[in-house]
Amino acid sequence: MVSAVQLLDVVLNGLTIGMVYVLVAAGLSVVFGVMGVLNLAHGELLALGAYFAFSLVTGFGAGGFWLALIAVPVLVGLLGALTERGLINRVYGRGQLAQILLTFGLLLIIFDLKRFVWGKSPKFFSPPSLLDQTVTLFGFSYSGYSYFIIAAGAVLSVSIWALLRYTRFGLVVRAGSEDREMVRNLGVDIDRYYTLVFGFGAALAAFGGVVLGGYQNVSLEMGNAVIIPAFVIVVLGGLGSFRGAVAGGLLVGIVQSAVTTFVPQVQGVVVFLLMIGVLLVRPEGLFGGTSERVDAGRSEPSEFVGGLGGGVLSDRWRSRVGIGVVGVLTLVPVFDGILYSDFVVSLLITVLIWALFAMSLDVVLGYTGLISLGHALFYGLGAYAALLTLLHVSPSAFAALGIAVAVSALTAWIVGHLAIRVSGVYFVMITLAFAEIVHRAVFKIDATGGSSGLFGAPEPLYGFGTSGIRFSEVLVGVEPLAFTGDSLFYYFLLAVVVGSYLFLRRIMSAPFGSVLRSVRESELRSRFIGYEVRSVKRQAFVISSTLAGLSGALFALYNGFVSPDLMNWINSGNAIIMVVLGGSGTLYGPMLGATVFTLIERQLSSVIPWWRLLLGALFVLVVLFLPTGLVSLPKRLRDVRTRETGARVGTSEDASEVEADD
Amino acid sequence: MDGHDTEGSETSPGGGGVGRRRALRCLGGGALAAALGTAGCIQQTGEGGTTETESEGGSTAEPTTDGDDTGTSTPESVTVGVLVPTSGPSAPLGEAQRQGAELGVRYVNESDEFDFTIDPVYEDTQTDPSTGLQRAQQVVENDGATYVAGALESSVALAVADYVSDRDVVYTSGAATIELTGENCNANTFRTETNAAQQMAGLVDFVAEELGTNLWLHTTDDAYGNSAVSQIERRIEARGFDIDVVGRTMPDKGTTNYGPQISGISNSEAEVLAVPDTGADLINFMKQADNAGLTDEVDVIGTAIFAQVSRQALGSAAVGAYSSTLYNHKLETGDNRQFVESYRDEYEGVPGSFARVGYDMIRMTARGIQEAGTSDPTTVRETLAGLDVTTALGTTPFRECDHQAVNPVWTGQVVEGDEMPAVELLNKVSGAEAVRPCETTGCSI
Repeated sequence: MVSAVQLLDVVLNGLTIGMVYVLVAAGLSVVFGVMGVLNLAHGELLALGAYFAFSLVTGFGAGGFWLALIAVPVLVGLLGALTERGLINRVYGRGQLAQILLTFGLLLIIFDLKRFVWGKSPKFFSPPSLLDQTVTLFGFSYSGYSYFIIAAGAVLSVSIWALLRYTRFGLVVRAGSEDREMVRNLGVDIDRYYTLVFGFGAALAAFGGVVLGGYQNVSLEMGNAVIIPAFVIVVLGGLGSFRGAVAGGLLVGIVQSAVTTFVPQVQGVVVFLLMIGVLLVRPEGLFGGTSERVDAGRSEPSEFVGGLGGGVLSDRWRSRVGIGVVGVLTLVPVFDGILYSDFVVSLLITVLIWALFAMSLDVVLGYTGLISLGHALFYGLGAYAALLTLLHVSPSAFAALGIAVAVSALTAWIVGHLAIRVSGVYFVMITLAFAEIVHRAVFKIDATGGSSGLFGAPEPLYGFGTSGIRFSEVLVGVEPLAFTGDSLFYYFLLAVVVGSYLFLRRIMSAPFGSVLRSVRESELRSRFIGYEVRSVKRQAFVISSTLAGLSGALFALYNGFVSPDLMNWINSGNAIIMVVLGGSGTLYGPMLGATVFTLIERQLSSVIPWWRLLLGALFVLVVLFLPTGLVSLPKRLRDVRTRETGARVGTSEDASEVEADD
Repeated sequence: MDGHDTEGSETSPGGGGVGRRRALRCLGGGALAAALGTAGCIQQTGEGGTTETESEGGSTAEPTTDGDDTGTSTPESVTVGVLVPTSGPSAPLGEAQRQGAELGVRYVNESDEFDFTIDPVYEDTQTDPSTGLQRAQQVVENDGATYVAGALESSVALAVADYVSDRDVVYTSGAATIELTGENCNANTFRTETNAAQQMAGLVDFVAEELGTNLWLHTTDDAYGNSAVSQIERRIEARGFDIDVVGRTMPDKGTTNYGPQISGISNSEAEVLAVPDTGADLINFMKQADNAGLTDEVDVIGTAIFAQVSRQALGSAAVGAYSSTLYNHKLETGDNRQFVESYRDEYEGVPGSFARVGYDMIRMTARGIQEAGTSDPTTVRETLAGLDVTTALGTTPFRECDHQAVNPVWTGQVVEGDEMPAVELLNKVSGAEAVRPCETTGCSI
C-alpha cells in the first residue's frame, strides 16, 4: 500500500533530480534547436561550472556559494560564447559529423584542462548551512538542499520562459528554431544570435553544475554522467523546445524516482524504454514542433551528416597501397623478438580488432548516412556470445565465431526493424537506447557475470569436434619463420580483416552499394525510383552490425574475457570518431582512423598524461583543415603545394573542400 | 637458473657473439621504445628472471659477465610491472596505491635484507579492463616483467589475473573483489588487499555485538556490492547471529540522486544501516543521507567510511558513523611505524589503506623472491604461499589454499578531528577469525 508520505517522497525526489536535468537539457535543446549543433561538450561545461563553484566556495566560504550562483554562469557563458566565435561557427552547414568530431574534441580538451587545474581527486563543497539541513514542514522532514534545488530550478525556468516569450532575443530564438532560413530572409542577422544562444546554453549548464556540485561530489567524470540523460530528455521533450526540455526533465526525474522506489530492478533501463516508446509513436518528441526540420530526420541523410563519401585514392592506387600495407603487416611477426618485442604483435591485434569494428560502422555511417550510437551493442554481444560458447558449448573457435555472428545478425535484424523507422538524430538516440538497455541488462544477469564480466575461457580450438589446433600448442613453419601463439592468431585475424574488407568492397561496388549511396544522397528520389528504402537500410544495418559482432567475438577469442565495459556507449562514440577521423565512406579511412586513435589512446597515454588534450586538438584540426578525414591529407598537401606554386587547377577541387574553404 | 643470455646465445654461439642479433634486438627495442615512449631495453630471459641490458645496448664492451655468480643466487634486478589506475573513476585511489608502491620499491632497493633490486614499470589501467589487460601484456611482453602488482577495480584485477594464469608471471593484487581468491583464483595470483569477505566479517560481528538487530543493506549494484551483500548474509548465518535484514537498496553505479533509497530506509523499521560501498557512490550517498537527516535516525556502519578520502570528503557528515577499518596509521602492528614515517617524509600527511596495500604488495612479492633465492616465478609462487611475512598489519601470510593475505580487521568510529575527522578504533577481529574457511572459498589451486 502506498502511503501519502511515500508518494510525497517520490514526487519530491523526482523533482529534485528532474530540476537538475532541466538545467542541463534546456541549454542543450535550445542550442540544438537554433543552431542545429549537437554539443557533446555540454556536460563538460556543467562540470566546469561545478569546479569553478568549488574554487569560489573554498576561497570565500559560505558566501562563495551565493556568489558562484551568479558569477559562474556568467563566466562559463562567456567562455561558451568565445568558443562559438572561435571554433564552432566554422562548422555550420557541415552536417552533424563534423560537429560531433569538433565538440568531442572540445570535450577532451576541457576534460584535460580541468585535470590540470584541479587535479584528479574528486572535490567537495558544502552548500551554506542555511540550506544544508533537514527541513520539517507539517511533520514531514526532507532535505533542505533538495527544496533549494527545486525552487532555484523553478525560478530559473520561469525566467527563461519569460525571456523567450517577451524579449526580442527570445523572439528570434523561437523563430530560429522554427525556421532558420526564414528568419535570415526576414533580414535578421541570426548568426550574431548564435553566439548569444551558445553562451546562454553554456551558462545554463554551468548553473546546473553549481547546484549539482552542492549535492554530490565534483569529479572529472560528472560531465559524462549527465550528458546521456540530457540527450534523452532533449529527444523526449522535442528537439529545440524549451517547454519540452522542462517537461521531459521533470518527467524523467519523477519516473526514475517512482521506478526506483517501487520496481528497483528496472531502474537503469526505464528511461531508455520510455524514449524508444516515444520515438516510435511520436518521433518529434512530446513537445516537438510539427515543422519539417532538417535535423529532425525528415530530410535527406546526406544533409544531416554531410561531407561523406568518395574515396580519395583511385582504384589502382588503392590496390597498390592496400597490398603494400598488408605486405608490411604480414612481415610483422617475422621480426618479432628481433627488431621489437612480442608486445608489438599484441598491440597490432588490438588495432586490427578496432579497425574491423570501425570499418563495420562505415557501412551504415559512411555509405548509408545513418549515425549509429549503439554499435558497441554488437561488439559486446559478439564478444559475450563467443565467450559463452567457449565456456558452455564447445571449445571450437569456429563455433564461437559462428554463434557470435548469428546472434549479432539476428539482434541487428530486430533492432534494425524498429530503429530504421526513424532517422537523423532520432536514429542516433534510438540505437543508443537499445545499446544501453542491453548494456544494463548484462550487469544484472548472472549468466553474463554481472559487473565483473566473464573470465577463464578455455584456449580456443581452431577446428571442430576433437580435430583442430590450439595456437599455443603448435609451431607452424620452419625456423626462422616459425610461428606460434599470438603470432598465429595475428595471421588468422589479419586474414579475417582483409577478407571482411574485400567482402565489403565487393558489396559496395555491386548494385546494392550503389543503392545505398543513392539512399544517402536522396532518400526521396530512391523511393521514387522504386527502391524499398527501409529494407535496403535494414540490410546495410544487419551487415554492419554482424561485422561489429565478428570484431567483438575476435576480441573475446584473443583475450579470453568479456566485461560490460565493452558495451559502454563510449565505445560506440569512439568508433564514430575513428570513422570520421580517418575518412568516412572509404572503408580504409576508418581503419586508418582506428589505428591512429588506438595508438594514441593506448600507447601515447602511458607516456603523456595530457594525451586527451592532444587527441582533442587533433580532432579540432582535422575538422577545420581535413574535412574528409586523414585519408585526404596527401591530396590536401598536394593542393596546398599546387596553390603555392601558383599553378592551381580549379577542376580538381571537389565540392566538399570548396565548401570548407569558404 | 643459469646465466641470463640463454636466448641470445642460442642464435649466436661463441663467446664474442652476443653481438648482432642481440644488439639488433636491443637497438630495435630502443627505437621502438623511443617511438612508443617506453624507456630502456629490458628483456626476458628464457628461464625466467629478467635482466637489464642497457650496458650491452650501449656501445662499450663493458665486461658484463654476470654469469660469474651462477647457481641459485637471486638476480641483481627484477622487473615488476605496477598497474594502477591513475585516470578514470578510480584515479584518486590508484594514486594512493601508486605512492605506496613507490615507497615499497624504495624500501626493497635500499634495504640490506634483499640481494636484488626492483626495477619498477608503472602503467595506468585507466580503470578499464581492456586497457588494464593491454598494459599487463605490455609490461610482460615488452618490458620483460615476470611480476605484476596492483589494480583496484574488480574487473581489471580479474582480467589481469586471467592473463597471468597460464603464463610464468606472478600477480600480487590490490583489489578487494571476492572472486579473485574464490572461484576465479589461480596459482599465479596473490592478494595483499583485505578481501570483501574479511571486511564484512568485521562489520557483521560489530553489528551483532554492539548495534542492533534490524539491519538495512545499502550498496552499489556492482561486483563489490554484490559480494559484500552475500558475504554479510553468509556471515550472519554461519555465526547464527540474531540479525534481521529488513531490506536492501542497490542502485546502479554512478547514481546522482539517492533520495528514493534514503526515503525508503527512513520509512522502514531499520535500526542499523550497513553501507558496504566505496568511492564516489559512498560519498554521494552519505552526503545526501546526512542532509536528509537519515544519519540521526539509524546507526550507520560502512566498510570504507574509515578511508581518508571518505572522511575528507564528508567532513562532519561522517562523524558518528562506524566503519569496518582495514588500516590506520596509528596501528602498532608489524613495521607500520616505519612505513608511516617514510610516508610522512615523502608525501606529507599520513598514509591511508590504499597506500598501505601498494606498499605491502611490492614488499610481499619481494620477500617471496628473497626467500626463494631466485626470481623464477614458478619457484617464487610456491615459496610465497604460506610464507610468514611481516607487513604493516603484522604477520599476514598468503594462505596456501587461496593465496589471500590473512589480514586482521578492526572496527572504528569516526570522531571529530583537527583537519578532518579521525577514526577511533573500537575492536579487532584477528586475521584467522576474519578470513573465510578454505573449504567455502570455491577456490582450488
